[in-house]
Formats: sequence, structure tokens, C-alpha cells
Amino acid sequence: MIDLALFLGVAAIGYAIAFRLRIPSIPVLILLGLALALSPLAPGQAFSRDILELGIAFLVFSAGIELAPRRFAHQTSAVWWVALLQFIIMGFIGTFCAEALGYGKIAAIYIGFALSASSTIIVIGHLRRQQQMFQPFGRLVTGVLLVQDVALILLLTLLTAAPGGDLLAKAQAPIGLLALGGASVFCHYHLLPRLVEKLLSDDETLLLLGLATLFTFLGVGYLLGVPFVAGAFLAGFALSAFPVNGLLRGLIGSLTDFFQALFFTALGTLLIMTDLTTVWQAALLTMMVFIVTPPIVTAVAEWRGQTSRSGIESGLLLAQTSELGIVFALTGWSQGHIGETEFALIALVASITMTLTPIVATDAVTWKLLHWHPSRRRKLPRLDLEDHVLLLGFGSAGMWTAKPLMEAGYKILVIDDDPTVIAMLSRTKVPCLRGDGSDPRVLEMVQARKAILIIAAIPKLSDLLQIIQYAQGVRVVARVLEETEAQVIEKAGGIAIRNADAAEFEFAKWFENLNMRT
Amino acid sequence: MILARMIRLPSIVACLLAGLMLGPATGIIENSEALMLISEIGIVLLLFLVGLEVSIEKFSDVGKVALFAGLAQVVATILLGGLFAWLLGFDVKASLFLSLAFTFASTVVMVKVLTDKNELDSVYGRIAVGISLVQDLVVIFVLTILTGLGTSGGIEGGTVATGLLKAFGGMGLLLGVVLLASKYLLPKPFSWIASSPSTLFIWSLSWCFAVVSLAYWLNLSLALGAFFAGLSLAQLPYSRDLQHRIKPLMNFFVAIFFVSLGLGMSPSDASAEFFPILAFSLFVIFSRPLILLLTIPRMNYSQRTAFLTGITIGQISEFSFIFVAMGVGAGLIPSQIMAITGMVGMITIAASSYLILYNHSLYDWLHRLGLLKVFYAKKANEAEIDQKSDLTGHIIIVGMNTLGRLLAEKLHSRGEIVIALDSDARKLVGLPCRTLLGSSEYMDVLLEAGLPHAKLLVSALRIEEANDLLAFRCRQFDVHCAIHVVDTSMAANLLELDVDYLMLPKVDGVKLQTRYLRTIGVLPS
Repeated sequence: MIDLALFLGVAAIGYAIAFRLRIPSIPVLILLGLALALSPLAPGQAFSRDILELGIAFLVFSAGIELAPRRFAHQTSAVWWVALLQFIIMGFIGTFCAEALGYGKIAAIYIGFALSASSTIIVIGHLRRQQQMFQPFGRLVTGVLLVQDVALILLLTLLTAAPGGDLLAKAQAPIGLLALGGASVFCHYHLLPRLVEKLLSDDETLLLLGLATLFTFLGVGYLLGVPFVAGAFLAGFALSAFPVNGLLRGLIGSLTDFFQALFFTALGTLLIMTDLTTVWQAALLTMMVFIVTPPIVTAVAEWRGQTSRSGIESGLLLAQTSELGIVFALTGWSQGHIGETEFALIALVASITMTLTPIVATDAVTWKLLHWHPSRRRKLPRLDLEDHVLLLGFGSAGMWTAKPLMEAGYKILVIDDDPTVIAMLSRTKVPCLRGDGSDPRVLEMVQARKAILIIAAIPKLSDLLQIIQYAQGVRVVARVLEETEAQVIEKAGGIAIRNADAAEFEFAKWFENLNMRT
Repeated sequence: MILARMIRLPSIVACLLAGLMLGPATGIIENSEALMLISEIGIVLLLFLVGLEVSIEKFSDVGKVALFAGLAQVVATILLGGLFAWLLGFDVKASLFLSLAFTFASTVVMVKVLTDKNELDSVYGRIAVGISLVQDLVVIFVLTILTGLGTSGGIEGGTVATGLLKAFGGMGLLLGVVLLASKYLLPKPFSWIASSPSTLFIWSLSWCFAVVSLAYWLNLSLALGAFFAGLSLAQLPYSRDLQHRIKPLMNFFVAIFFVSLGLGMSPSDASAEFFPILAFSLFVIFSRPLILLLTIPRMNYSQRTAFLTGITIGQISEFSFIFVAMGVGAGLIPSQIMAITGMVGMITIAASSYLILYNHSLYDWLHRLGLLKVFYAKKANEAEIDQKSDLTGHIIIVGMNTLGRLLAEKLHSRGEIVIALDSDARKLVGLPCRTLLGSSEYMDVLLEAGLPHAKLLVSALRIEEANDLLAFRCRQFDVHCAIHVVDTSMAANLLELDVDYLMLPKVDGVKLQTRYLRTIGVLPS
């Protein structure tokens, strides 16, 4: 109990530091765990290992609950291509680097592929904070994370399949995984949604259902020779269909928060063996993650229809090592495939890359990288435009903006980075151009300073400010939801249209009708 | 356990049965050190939660009757129960432990069943919860004495007095520390991290286990430390939100605690005590309504209220197991008492759960038979029966961003009863309407906001999963809802969930924009 209090105390300090510095809590917890292990208060390793086991189960289980395929239904092709190519290329480069650093083949595979998956916790948290979940690259990145998790689980099953023995023994784990996967799919689509409908009465029953599913899959997985991690993940997937996942998210969330805090602190206490060689190797591999991931993701994302900026943003956001990568390494360690050093190396790279994500995945870095993009070397021709109206970003209501302006006789030009929007506009004979409406090069090309009006429907405040700054006196109208954003835009010289006021006005009309009806 | 829940068996009984099946019946699992640690964490979290729930507000309206009836019931049960046990042939120490174990009602069971019945806010529901809180305070007192007895290693002589002195001294010190911390140490840092729910959650748990460690160091029970830790956080404005977050964690650990209790039971011992188990179970179930029918009506409450309250508290508590386990652990009573208490617990908890479900029909039946006339009590007062929460026909607004605040202010100014809900305390500041701190992901939060009786729920949130879930909940309770659609890709799912109104600020903003363009002459008026 005292050990638990100690871990929680250290975790509380870690959360406070992360909150103050606005960085992810995971690397802080790992580093504080390391400090705890070096202190005279260090708890026994047996306790840390017990916590790690329960922590892994809940971390992987909650990752599985988030695996709702409908989330990336409209970008399936891009998601699969980006996820698999990035995972495979990065995995092989990582394996090659690890071998070059003197690690054996199996250890190098573990290192390479553990580093190739990105962190769901870090990336989703970042997207939510930046309100970017619904942007095309946000959806792409979310899908990529989920596919990578599945790929890592599959690889883990193959690696942990009995190394010696006959073919039957070797095939046991993959066959078991297939069977358990089938059961998980059946539960996902048929059994659990129906069961939940019957058990809707209270949170406790739902929680029990969730935990029963987890422990059943773990138990059956154990009997079938499937890795513990795969069982937890498939249990999560079984519960990931709506409304089951929605109802369970809050309940499991408390357990996940609790075990996550303990897990990463306990993990830090196991890194005590880290020596200087491991540290510089970790620095090298961190550089590899940052050098390799963004170009691969950018290239594949552009090939699958994303803009250069979206590709770079996705690449930067995916350039870190996943918590599932740590679990992957931990499983390898417990199986005897890798040693303490390899495990420490992977955990260190994960800690460093996770810490650096908020610093790297920023607009400033994105724009800097954009300047180096091959397409930027081409000089864009200035279009022969004057006294026109620019619509930057078309959005869901763009046609209602464009149509009255066209009917009033204005020359309009729509700029949007979504290829499907551009295709639709082309079909309907609305003048349009595919590109990033906040990019000064694009604004220069479309003669923004000669326009009589710019209407921006771009969600990012920094992009809107960039447009206002570039436009130099041209009237820029921007629609925003938050009052604070509206004030910033007006201060910068733009004209803010308050979407919240408009929505309240329309809501009031509907509410009046509702009151009359009831 | 899920099967047990389907037949409306309370979770505690289901856990005990599961433990019995896994342990004594089949021998699949044995109690281990890890299970004991998890059980201890469960007790700590349960008591922490009880501490968090203690609020002066809850006592204000029914405080007097709860205090009077609670103390009367405790004293009467100890005396009658002790005498009853002694008459059944148990020695004095065992009789004392048994009477103590049968004194306290389970807060968890009654709150759970009353919430399911949607009668937690009824007069009898509030009195029952009030009585359970009075009992919680007595529990702390008894736990302290037991710890003193446990540390003294016996029940005789001056060592007991020293043990009691140490326990009360330690208790006083611990209470002083947590109360001072509650007033001077905790509010500022907790207010600083209030906008981060995960940090708030981990901090509160860290505080809980820090106080538990202090209690351990002072030779006090861990449960006592946890209760005081909860008490010190109960006065913070985030305590309700913390309760909702800690409850699932507590449910997980407590389930294992009760399973481990089942594992530790000895049905063979219990079968040898069939008659006492049956007698004690009937004593617990019938003595409560009888005692309360004699006390509550004397304080101007109706016979119906007294009867319903008595039925509600007609089971023994999880503390009962803790008491007896402590007594067995200290070598004061034989392990056979644990088996008896466990079986009485299972029977009374199961029976009272069903009795609470059908309490009104039961009262009407007994009243028609004239069996309650002997108590010469006040007749049913319908006003008391119908007195429930004033939250009916109100509007719940979730997410206090600019849109949420605007809607809350405008609807409030129209005279609507509005409840503004957000998980960030800072976003609720300055609103003219009623506010509730909490995450809409938790059903308990929505129930506290009165969702089943609301006329409308509006979500201004920009989180797709949360909005889908709110729409689903509204459909479940047949409540109208208006949901913020951040992206048109969300609309299809929401329409499938029968959302009444989709708020499309991006689309509505275009209308405002068109008006502006007309004003400045860009578009013809």
C-alpha cells in the first residue's frame, strides 16, 4: 500500500509538471519513475512488474475500444497506404539501424518495429487540443494510428509464436489469434451491442460487462497461446462499436487514467540499467524517427490525394514512438527475445519523441518544412485577377456564399485543399483552385491584394491571422465560433462573423416551435 | 455476475456468490496476497468515496430526523441484537460483534437501488441516506475502537485504554491534519489543475493514498484514513465530479474485494449455523422498519415515510464484513462469525433489494391489512410521497464554449430552468443559471442533471463521440435534443439517432455573413 502511495505521489508530481510545461505526461512519468528508482525510496521490482501487467491490459484494452472502423470510412485507401507503408519502411530502416548499432537480428526487429508505430494517446490528445479532429489530415492520422496498432499486434503474435517445435506448435498462436479475432468481430457487430441494449440500466453493469469481456478474452487467449496483449486488444475491439464504446469510454477512462499513471511511473523504475551507450543510441534512433517519418508520410499522403501541408502536418504528428511500442518491447523482454538494454533503449526513444511532439508538430515547423518541399521551388504564376472575391476554404456552406456573389455579378475564386470539394466545384462550373488558402505563395498567385473581398472559412486562427496580415487593407471576412477568436480577428483588422450568434438565433426559432408543439 | 444482474441481483451479492463458486465450491481460485492488496485498495476507495459524499447540504433538510432516527436505530439494534445473539447462545464478545455488524446499512446498496428506482430524492430516500451518513460517522468511531483493540492485542486491562487513547489521539491528529489541509493547503493547487480532469483525478487519488499512508503510520485503519481524505476533498467544488470519476475505479476494486470475501467464506461452517443465520437475517430485515416506525412518526413524518425508510435500510453493510474481519484478524472472535455475517449479508442485501423495488405495494398491502395500526402513527402524507427533485421540464446545456454560454444565458433570460454542464469549473463561472460540474460521459452526471425529466438537452460540444452518446442517451429517455454539428460528416449518425435539431453554426454563420454583405453593399439588399 505504501509503494502504491509512492507511485501515485510521483505520478501526481509528473502530471503537475506536464500540466505546467504543457507537454505530454507520459515521458515525464517515465523520467520521474527513473528518478524514483535511483532514490532510497525505490520500491521493489516485483511490485513494479505487477503494476505493469495490469497497466498493459488496460492500456491496450482502451486502445482497442477506440478502434472504430467507421471513423476513417471516407479515407480508407489513404489510411491503409500511409499506415502500412510508413510502418513497414520505418520498421525496416529501424531494424537496419539497430543491426548497424550491433544488436542481433531478433532484437533489431523488435527495436525497428517498436519505433515505427506512433502514439495514439499523444496524437489524439494533440488533435483534440488543436480542434483538428475533423480536418482531412486529422481523420487520416487517426485512421493511421489504428491500423498501426493492429499491425503491431499481428507482428507481436508472429514473433511470440513458439520459436522451436513443430509446425503445429508454431501455428498455434496465429490460428488462436484468428479464432479470437473472429470472436471479437462477432462480439463487435452482433453480440455486445444487443447485450448492451438489454443491460442499459446502470453504469456498474456496463463496467462489469466491459471487464468481463476483457478477462474472458485474456483467459481464452491464454488457452489458445495468443499473447496477452493481443487478447486485451481484441477485447477492446469487441467493445468498440457504437453505442457500446461510447457508454464504456467514461467508465473505463477512470481505470485507464489510474493504470496509465502507475504503468508509466513503474516503467521508469525499470530503466535503471540505462548507461551512456544506450543514451547516445537513443539519441541516434530519435533522430532517425524524426528524419524518416515525416518524408515517408508526406510522400504517401500526397500520392493519396492530400496537400503538401496536410502531408507534412501528418508526418510531424506521427513522428514519435507509441506506448504500444513500449508494450511490444516489454512483451519481447518478458519472452526473453530482447534484454533490459534493448527495452531501455526503446522506452527512452519513446520518452524523448513523445516529449518533442508538441514542439515539433507546430505551424512554425510545418511552414519551415514546406519551404523545403520540392513543389515550393516551382514559381507559381500570378493569375490575371483584379476586383475579384476570394473564397478561402469552401467548407460545408460554401455554396451559399458563392452563389449570391456569382448572381450579383462578382468574379469569384474558391481555394480549397480538399480534392473532393475541388472536383465538385469543377463539375458545377464554379471557378476554383486546389491549394492552401492561407499560404502566402498561393495568396500571391491569386492576387489577393487586388481582391475587393476575401471570405475565409478556415478553422485555424493562426491561418486567418496570416491571411489578414497578407491582405494588407483588403477586407477579410472570417467566420468563427469562439468569442475570443472573434476579438483577435477584429483586433488584427479583420471582420469577424460570429457563428455562435447565428446558431443561437436559428436555435431560438426552432425552440419557439418546439414550445408551441409541446 | 452479469447473469445475476439480469435478474436484478445486487452486485455485492453477485460478487459474493461468484467468490463462493470460484473458491469454496470449485477451488479454482484461492485468496492470495495480490487479491488482498486489491481488496484493501477497494476498501480504501469505497471509504474515500463515502468521505467525498459527506456534505452538510445533504443533511440540512432531513438532518434532524436522520440524526435522531439514525442514533435510535444504532442504539436499539446494538442492544436488541446483542441480546438476541446472546439468547441464541453466542458469548458476550461474539454477541457484541454480531450486533455491531447488524447495526449498519449499506449506503452502496440503498443508493444504488433508489437511483435505479429514481427515488433517491424522495423524502424517505433522503432520510435513508441521512441515516446512512450518521451511521458512517458511528462506523468511524467503532473502527477507531477496533483498531485500538487490535493494537492492544487483547480486550483487557490498561493496554486497551492505551490502545484506545492511541487510536483516538491518532484519529484526532489525522482529522486535524486533513481539516487544516482542506482549508489551507488543498483549495489553491486543486483550483490550479481543475481544468485538467486527468490531473485532478490523479491528484485526488494521490492525496487519498498519502493520507492512508499517514493513517497506517499512526497505526490507524486504512479505511479511516481514506474516509478522512475524502472528507477533506468533499468541500471542494470539484468533489461531485471526482465522485463520478472515482466510482468506476472503486466498483472494479470493490468487486474484487467482495469476490475475495466470497472466496474466504466457509459454507460448511455456515450450514452448521443455519438457524442463527436465518434468525439474524429476519432480525435485520424486520427490526429496522419496526424501530423507525416507532421513531420517525414522532418527528412529524408519516407512517409511510417511516416504513419505506426502514425497508430501505433493511440490510447489513459492507462495513459489517470489515468489522467482523477485523475482529477475526485480532483473534477476538472465531472465524465462524465471519461465515454467519457473510451469509446474513447475502440474504439481507438480496432480500432488501427486492423489498425496496416493491416497497410502495408492500406498504399499501400492510396498510390495508391494518397491521400498522399498532404504531399509532401519522397517516400517509401524499405531499411527502410526491416531494421529489424540482428538476422537471428543464433544459440541460452541455459544453460551455461560446455557443453553450450564449444558449444558457438566452434560455435563462426567457424564464426557462437551465442547467449548464461542463467538466471545466472555470467555464461555469459567471453563468446566471444553475450549473453542474462533471463529464457528460457519466450516466450519473446526466441523472444528477435530471435528464429523464428534462424537456430538452442541448449539446454545444465539439466532440463527435460525446455528441453521439448524448443523442443516444436522449433517445433512451425520450428527451428532445439539439446537437452541435461540427462537421457535416457527423450529421448522418446523429440523424440515425433521432436528434430533433442539428445546430449548424457554420451554415448559420453564412446567413449572418450574407446580412453583413448586404449591409456593406456588396450584395443587393
